[in-house]
Amino acid sequence: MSMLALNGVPVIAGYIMIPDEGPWTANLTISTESIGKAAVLESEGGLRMQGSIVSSGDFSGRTKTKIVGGAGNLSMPLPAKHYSQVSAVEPIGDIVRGANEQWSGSAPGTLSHWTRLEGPAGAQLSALAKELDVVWYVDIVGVIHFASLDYPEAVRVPSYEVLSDDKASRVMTLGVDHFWLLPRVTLADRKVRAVVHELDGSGGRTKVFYS
Amino acid sequence: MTLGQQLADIVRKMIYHVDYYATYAAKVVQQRADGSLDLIFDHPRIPAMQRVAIRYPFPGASLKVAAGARVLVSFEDGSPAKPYAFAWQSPGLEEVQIGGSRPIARQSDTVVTPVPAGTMLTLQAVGSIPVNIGQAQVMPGTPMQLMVTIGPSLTGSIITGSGVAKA
Repeated sequence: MSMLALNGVPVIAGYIMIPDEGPWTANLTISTESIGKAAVLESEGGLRMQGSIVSSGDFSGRTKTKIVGGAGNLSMPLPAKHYSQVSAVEPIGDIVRGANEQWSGSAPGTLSHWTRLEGPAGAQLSALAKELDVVWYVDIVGVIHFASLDYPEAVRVPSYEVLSDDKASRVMTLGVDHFWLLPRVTLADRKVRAVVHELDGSGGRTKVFYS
Repeated sequence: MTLGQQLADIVRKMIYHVDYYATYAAKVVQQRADGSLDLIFDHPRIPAMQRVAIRYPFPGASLKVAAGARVLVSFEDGSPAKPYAFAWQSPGLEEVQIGGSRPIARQSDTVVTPVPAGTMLTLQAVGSIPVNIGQAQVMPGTPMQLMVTIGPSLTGSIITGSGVAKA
């Protein structure tokens, strides 16, 4: 297996972007034409991620694909709806079901009012997360979570090499044998806010955006 | 999806929250016992709402309004969790209170006021025609004095007047 495979097909180049809030996305180039709708990304010895292919097409004899965590429906517009005196679970559940996504089923807090305007499901989730003072994200198996950002210490950290650390921009680049890091943890005393796993002809790197 | 559609998607997501800083026209479906309002909106992007609080221009005020009254609604701090109704169009006003629990009356409104026992009332006919008050008749130019003995309530209408409301 290569450093990264999409549905078992080796990835030639591309990146996976995992922010601390919202869905993760990937833009990858492979040599095979047809790869279906469901996407399984696997880095041997590291991450195994499930998402959906939202677009793909031929480019210079290769296939470029765009993948998003979850079912890929978070841009779907949902109608307006109002709630009064409800647990936060209710409006979140309605959005998730409306977009045919999956979620953990738990969220903190109650709302005396909630006014959902017509718009993209992802934007509606962001508005709720802001009100509840938490973040929402799509995990590596495609499940949506609402949780506070407490940055626990990263566990089971494999060996890595720090290739560069731009303290002004707060971006660290790691040389890695496989992709393993996720955001929302603390690594080397840095709060990892977002991670970009990159792959090209020279190998793989992980960019860590921290605070 | 075209580049333009992708860009429009991104912009829609980025500016989604901006709409909570606007003001929207609504119609009252009903006013609940706690004074809050159930509303439907002219704008199709705004859902029907229940239990929306009214914000008043000064403290201690309250309103009773009829179904069909029209009002503007906004969101405090641009928060979807904090809608409030605050500015009205006629018609639909039924009662205003400013401090305390007694309503303010408008000209021609019927008013009821309690009169403690022992109060001396002076009744005077306005104009040239006698006025019948219960069994008594008040002649023009001849005020009639009545001693209240059992503390009734008087019902009448505001004809004219001005003054300062006080709690």
